[in-house]
Amino acid sequence: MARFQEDNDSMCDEDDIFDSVVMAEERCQAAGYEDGFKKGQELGREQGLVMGMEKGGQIGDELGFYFGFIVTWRALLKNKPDGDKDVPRPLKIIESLIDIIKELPQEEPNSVKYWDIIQKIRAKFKQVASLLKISVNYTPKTEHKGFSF
Amino acid sequence: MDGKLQPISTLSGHQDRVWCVSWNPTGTLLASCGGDKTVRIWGKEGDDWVCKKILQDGHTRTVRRVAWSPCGQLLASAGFDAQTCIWDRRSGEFECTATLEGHENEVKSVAWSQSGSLLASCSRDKSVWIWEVDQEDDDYQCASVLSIHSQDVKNIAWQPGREILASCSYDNTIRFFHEEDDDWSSFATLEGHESTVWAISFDKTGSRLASSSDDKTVKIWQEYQPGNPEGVVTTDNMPEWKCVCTLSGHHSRTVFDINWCHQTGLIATCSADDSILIFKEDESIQDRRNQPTFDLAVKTSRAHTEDVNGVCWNPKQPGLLASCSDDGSVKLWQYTSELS
Repeated sequence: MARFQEDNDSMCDEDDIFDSVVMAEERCQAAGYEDGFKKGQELGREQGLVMGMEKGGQIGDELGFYFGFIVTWRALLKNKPDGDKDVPRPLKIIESLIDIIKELPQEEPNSVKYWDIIQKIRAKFKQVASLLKISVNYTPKTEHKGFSF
Repeated sequence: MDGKLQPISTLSGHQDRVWCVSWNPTGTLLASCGGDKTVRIWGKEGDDWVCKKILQDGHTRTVRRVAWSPCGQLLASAGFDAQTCIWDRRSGEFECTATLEGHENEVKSVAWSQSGSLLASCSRDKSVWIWEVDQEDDDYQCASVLSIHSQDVKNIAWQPGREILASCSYDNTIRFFHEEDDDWSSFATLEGHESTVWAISFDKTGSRLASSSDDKTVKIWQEYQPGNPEGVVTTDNMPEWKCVCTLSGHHSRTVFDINWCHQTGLIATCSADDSILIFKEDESIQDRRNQPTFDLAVKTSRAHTEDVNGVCWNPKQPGLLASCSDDGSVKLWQYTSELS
């Protein structure tokens, strides 16, 4: 910016007096661009944060639903009498599903592997529900819309 | 072309398009299903084919596919109402003894393994389910839910002689699944079709697979076991599948179904172009394993008046073929080779 100023001054000494006016526009544009870029970055970061929180919340909500369901059922199955033939199979899958959910890597939610694991969790949950002969589906909570009267 | 396909009988009764036809293992009964939410059982009385039973209290929407268990006593039907119904005829009547729920939406196909101890279903929800069957107790336990395909799964087929399942999808691929450490997983992906793969059918030995697609072609795939003489690389000690033949230029629209006859080796295909084609392998070819050739034996252009949705060879009577169509009819055909 400083050099630009010098050139401009030196040019003003010469004959083209309109030059400074023209250059002023460009100067303002450059400064404006920079200010705007910074502001945009800040806003983008804010929006990204809100979006990430929302998406993360959704996934957490879904996984929390599965986790609560299977942990409860693990307790119920363990309370059944020994030798109940309907216990071992769902219990085994519940145990493995608990491990999968606990070990879900939280660092790279954009990786293909992360979503493969989410798919696997959903599939295993369906299998557990089927083995328990319970019709249960995760339905996302509707967005919080505030109060209305 | 050295064969003939002669119409034997037209079976009318369905009130809407007919989606699928399937012969029982002894070849005496034909099951069909369709948009009228019913399954119909056809059998021969004297010289005529007649409707023996109408199964109508199972599904609340279109019945997409039917499959007989290897023992012939059970019939599974896949419905757009997200259910699979099991019909038991051990009592003499066809009774719906089990309803398998779990798919989120339309069930597209159902198939029994050769031993009858496993049942697979697939759906528009992109998943394939495997059920363990206890025929004594009418108990069906979910052995696995496989969310591997990225789109609608159109059809499934068990490999003869092995507990390996193949599935085909709107994502243009064919997948293979096997059981490993008490869970099921995918071990092979067959890519090659340029559009939806609608149907797959194994040959008698199970080492070859035929697929039909929306890209208007039919492909033949060969299985290569680990340590195969051709040197095809296999991974994790599992077989590898390669496309060894593509039949194109025969159908002018989507090829909806394909059926490889385990008696005669003939391949029947049917299409949205209203035709039924029969392909015969050229047995004089030297390297049939790696470079097979299939010749068009019969082309029946106007087999039905609308899209032909399904074809099925009779398992006992050589050359007896059933077909079904959007025109609401089921037809029976007899193939004869003119040379014989």
